[in-house]
Amino acid sequence: MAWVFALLLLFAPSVSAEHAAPRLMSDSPEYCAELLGRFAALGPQVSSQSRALAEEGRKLCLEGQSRSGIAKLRRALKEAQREE
Amino acid sequence: MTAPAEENGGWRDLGAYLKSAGFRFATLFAVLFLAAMVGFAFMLWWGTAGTLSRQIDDAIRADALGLQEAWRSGGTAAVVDAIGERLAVDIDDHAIYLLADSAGLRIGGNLDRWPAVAQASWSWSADTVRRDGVAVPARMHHVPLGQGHRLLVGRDATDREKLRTLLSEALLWSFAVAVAFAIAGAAALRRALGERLRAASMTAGAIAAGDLTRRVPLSAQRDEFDQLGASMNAMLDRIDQLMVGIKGVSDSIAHDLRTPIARARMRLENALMSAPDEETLRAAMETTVADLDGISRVFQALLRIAEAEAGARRAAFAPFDLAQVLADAAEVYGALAEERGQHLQTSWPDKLEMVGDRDMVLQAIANLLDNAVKFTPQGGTIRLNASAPARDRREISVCDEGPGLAPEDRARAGERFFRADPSRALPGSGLGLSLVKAVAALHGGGLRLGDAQAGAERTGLEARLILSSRA
Repeated sequence: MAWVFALLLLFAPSVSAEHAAPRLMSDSPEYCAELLGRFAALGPQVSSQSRALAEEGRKLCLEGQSRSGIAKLRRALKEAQREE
Repeated sequence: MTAPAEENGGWRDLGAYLKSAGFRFATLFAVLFLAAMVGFAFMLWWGTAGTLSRQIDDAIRADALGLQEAWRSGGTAAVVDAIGERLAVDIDDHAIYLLADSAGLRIGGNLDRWPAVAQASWSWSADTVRRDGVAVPARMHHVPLGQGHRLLVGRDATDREKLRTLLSEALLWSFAVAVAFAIAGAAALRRALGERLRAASMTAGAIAAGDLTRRVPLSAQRDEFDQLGASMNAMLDRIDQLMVGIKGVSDSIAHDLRTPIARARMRLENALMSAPDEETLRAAMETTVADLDGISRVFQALLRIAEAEAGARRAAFAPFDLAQVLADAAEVYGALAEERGQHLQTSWPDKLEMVGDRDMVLQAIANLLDNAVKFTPQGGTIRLNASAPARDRREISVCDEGPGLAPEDRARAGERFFRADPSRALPGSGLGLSLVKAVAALHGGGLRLGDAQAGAERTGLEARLILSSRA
């Protein structure tokens, strides 16, 4: 029986490591909110194109599609950054 | 009962097959083909997946250096701001950052906690992170910042892993196809080699069985096998020629020496039976001894010709001055010509260096001069000339004022025991020019016979001995 426990112990770390892998937080609704805050902080001088992208991102985040919403918001921020 | 014998035969056949040149060439081909394939795969991997990995590492390294700079200039807050800005414009969503304090607690970045594998300071690691609950591969670099703070910079390596998987599959299939091609190519190569060598092998077998007329068939490709076949055919022609020569010599010896031996025997028998006194008997015996000496000289000449033709004396080749050899011959035959009321004219450069068998060359020149003295009438002139028309060529010419040789006799003049009609009345064995011809061949040259004075009543004979001056 001892070898069965040894085998279990051998496999145990890999199984637990799978569950213990760190999680990426940049696809969460909270991160949506953070990006919206960053965009708002840019002020009114941003272009309408950036604004439209940010609006699309906001809607997607509200619909629960955080990753798509975050992608749009990032493109809006990138566009605004380029305009500066 | 025959099973073990058959088994042994099978192993022997397999052993012979593995030792065969065809198998070895085929194996070499297969190994080279597969080595080329491995080299190609390595270059492909290094140029695609390798390049992508290096690009990822370079981007991570540059990113980490930028954040270290931010730490030095503004501390924790500056690093958190910089990470936030970089994540905000990370459209590809590949960037991974984590700033942790001395207790390992998260201060900034998009990773919820420090990975277990990234504990060592200032090192690289490959691990997985969870994105939407799914584990994805990541390449990470962790850097200590000071005051126990640690920074982790990484990239999502999903694309790189996909490319690696695709490449691995493609290369695996390619390798399988390459192995199949290598085996098929090796088999075809072995078969082609066997086919090309079969003709030569069959010819050699037929000759070994006694059929000397067989020759290796040559193809129109004129490749290395045809060259080998041509060499074999040339060798067989030469052997054939030598066999005919040996047969001719045997016939000639039987024909030409039978008469003098029979004559000597008859003379001795007559003397024994009917000599009136001891003096007559003694005279008959002396004549017989002289006849036997002549026979002995013929055998000696035959041996020298055989020696020259076999090339056995080539090992004794050494550098010598041909001018000196000509001077020696001219001294002996000049005196002989003078005794007979003839005049010997000579002309050659001061030095005529060459490599060869000095004694054989001297013998050949002596034979030519001997013939010239024999056939030139009293008061006539014999000319002995030598020159170096090319760097590696020496020519010796002996011209007499004798009756010359008919064109049909010139072609046969080098044959053993051949004597043209005008010379039959003169002493000689018919071996002189045979030896000259053999010596010329031994020295990579030849013997040319022509008229000394074309159009004259007595054309005379010009014997031109051509020698190569290099061994």
